[in-house]
Amino acid sequence: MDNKRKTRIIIYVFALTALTAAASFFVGSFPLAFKNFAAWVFGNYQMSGSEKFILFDVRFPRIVMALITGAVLAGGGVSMQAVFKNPLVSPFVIGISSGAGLGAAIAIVYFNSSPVIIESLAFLFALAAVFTAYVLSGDGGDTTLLLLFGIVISSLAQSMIGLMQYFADADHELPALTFWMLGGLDSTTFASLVYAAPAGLLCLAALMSMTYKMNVLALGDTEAASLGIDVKRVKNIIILLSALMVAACTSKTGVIGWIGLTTPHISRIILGADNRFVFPLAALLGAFFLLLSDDIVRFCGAGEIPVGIITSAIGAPVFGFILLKYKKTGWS
Amino acid sequence: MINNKKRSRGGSTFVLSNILAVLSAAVFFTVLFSAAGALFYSGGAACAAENISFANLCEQGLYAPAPLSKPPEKIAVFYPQSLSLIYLFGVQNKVSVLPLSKVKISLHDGGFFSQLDPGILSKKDGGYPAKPDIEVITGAGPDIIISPTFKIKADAFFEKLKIPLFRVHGTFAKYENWLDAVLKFGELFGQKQKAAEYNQYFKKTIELTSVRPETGETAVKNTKKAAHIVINANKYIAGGKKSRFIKWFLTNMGCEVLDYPDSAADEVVLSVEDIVKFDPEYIFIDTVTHAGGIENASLKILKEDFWKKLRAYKENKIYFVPADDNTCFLTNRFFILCAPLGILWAAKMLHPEKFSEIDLEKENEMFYRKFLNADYKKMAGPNSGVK
Repeated sequence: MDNKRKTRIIIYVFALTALTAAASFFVGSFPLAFKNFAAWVFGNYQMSGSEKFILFDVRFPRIVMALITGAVLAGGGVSMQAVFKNPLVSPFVIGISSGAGLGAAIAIVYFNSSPVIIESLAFLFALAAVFTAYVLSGDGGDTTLLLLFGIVISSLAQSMIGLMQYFADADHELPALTFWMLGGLDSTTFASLVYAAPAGLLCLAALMSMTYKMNVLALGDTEAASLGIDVKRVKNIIILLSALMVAACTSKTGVIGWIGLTTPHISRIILGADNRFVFPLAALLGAFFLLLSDDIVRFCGAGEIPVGIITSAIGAPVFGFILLKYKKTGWS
Repeated sequence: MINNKKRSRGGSTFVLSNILAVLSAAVFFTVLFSAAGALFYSGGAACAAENISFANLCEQGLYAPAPLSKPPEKIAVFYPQSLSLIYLFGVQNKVSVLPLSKVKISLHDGGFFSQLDPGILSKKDGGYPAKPDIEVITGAGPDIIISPTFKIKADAFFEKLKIPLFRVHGTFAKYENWLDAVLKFGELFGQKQKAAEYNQYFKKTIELTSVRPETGETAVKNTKKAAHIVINANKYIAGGKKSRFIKWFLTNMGCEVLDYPDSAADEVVLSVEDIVKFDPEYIFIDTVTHAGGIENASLKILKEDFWKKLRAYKENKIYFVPADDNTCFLTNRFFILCAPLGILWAAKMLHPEKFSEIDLEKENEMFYRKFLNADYKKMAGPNSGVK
């Protein structure tokens, strides 16, 4: 497949995501008709306060957050898989999700579920988990060690989350913690975007500019060094940017699984191994996937199933399908 | 080497710059739209009453809106425990949103909620207290929302909607907090008289079980060791903030109650060792709802060997708090609406000689008729555990 065709595919997926985003404004249990919206745009309809509230305060930030978080998780997945040269790596593997979960659990159980404290502690603990794994592995010098320390830190954090769950009040703290761990975009406000959007978008753009280096890293550390790449520095920057953007979004949305693992593989199946194309396509697919999952949540009616359940329910079988595809050829 | 590197990048420079341009445009428009949306709504539309002020009415956290010009017509409840207030004041026909998934335990035909509110299933599900469904709540257009006092992320939306909030601490660890909530709610719905009558009955029950008005006799302190144990998901729960009220009235009736000195936590999980060590003379077991009836629940629970070592078991003084999903005792620990009946019931178990004249059946019938506008016999039927 030549580069022009690859670009065309990316543009198609971008258009599909944009259309889905537009349609998402009219999905939900609150009745909001497109024709009324169109009439309002042309001044022929007076939207009620409730309609404006749902459109601009509930759905708008939620859709933007879905797009950014989906792109961030998928972009983080591509970056991490490139650094670790491991197809089973997702952005959460070095402790981000467990660290964030522990921060959220502490905030829910000991700080009266204050939303600001939940988000702040989730963000700080996510970064602290990555930083700890990074320092223990010798400043990320050995990515295998970093991966293993990430697993250790994750397990420790999980055990502490379990302890928090045990002590949590069964009426409101335990449900709050459970819902947080299952992820959700239902409480996204403009304030949520103020923090997560710049971090997510800037890191995504920075990582996008490093996709060529990710390709070189795939050749092996020695080869990359011989091509003039400062391997350790590049890896550190990629890990830092990925951790930063994933932690920023996860602290707002809770843990949303499978996007960071599945979409990079789908992108590779479509476009091959070139990260310059895989990265933007995965980011767009991630955004599309999370947006669609959130639409399903809102379409399914009242009560709102946590979106992490939907992404897992779709992501796991899709990943299983990918595994079956690779069964004969192997990952190489 | 350098040439190779340049060649490999140069071939797709045009393509990459296009992708970057598209992404940059996406970023630009996202920021632009976010800012525009925020600016647009800052002049925003209010859905309901303006100028709402809140007052923290007691230490436990009860927030009632300033008096409204007229009683609310549409209520959104997403905190199950606050349904007590709805049924007490008979405003169930004004409820358009409630936590259906959370109260499903009693939604079956003939269940407590279904009997008090036959149209309950046609109402919209507002989601869980920790995760309310904003779209459903907004869509119902309530003119008051009953929510918990603990903070939730959805608070930001409610602030924006400017719909008055009546926030209650659902567990009502102190009965004074519950009675405050009753008075404020009654005031809001123009039913001050009923609120006062209920308060009076509640307090009278407490007085009756702590001081005998006719003789001035008080219960003897610390002679009976009692434990109130909630068994939920195989955990034995006692003490903590939620049981403060139960601990208070058991103490008031002359009991030394199994609890932890540090009961600042919402609830304390007991080990079997804790229970055996305390060896209570009286045990009140609350399973929230005794699925399959009290007999079945008791057989299932008491099959554990350690119960047999306890004094209460040997003296046949283990009581299962009447809790079936047809009656007011449902989730008795929290369901403080019917606590006066629970107090009388416990009083008879602890001091049968002192409270022999209390006719529980009669008290229940009166309570249901007067405060719930319902027929106790019809609701409880053969399953009534109140004997």
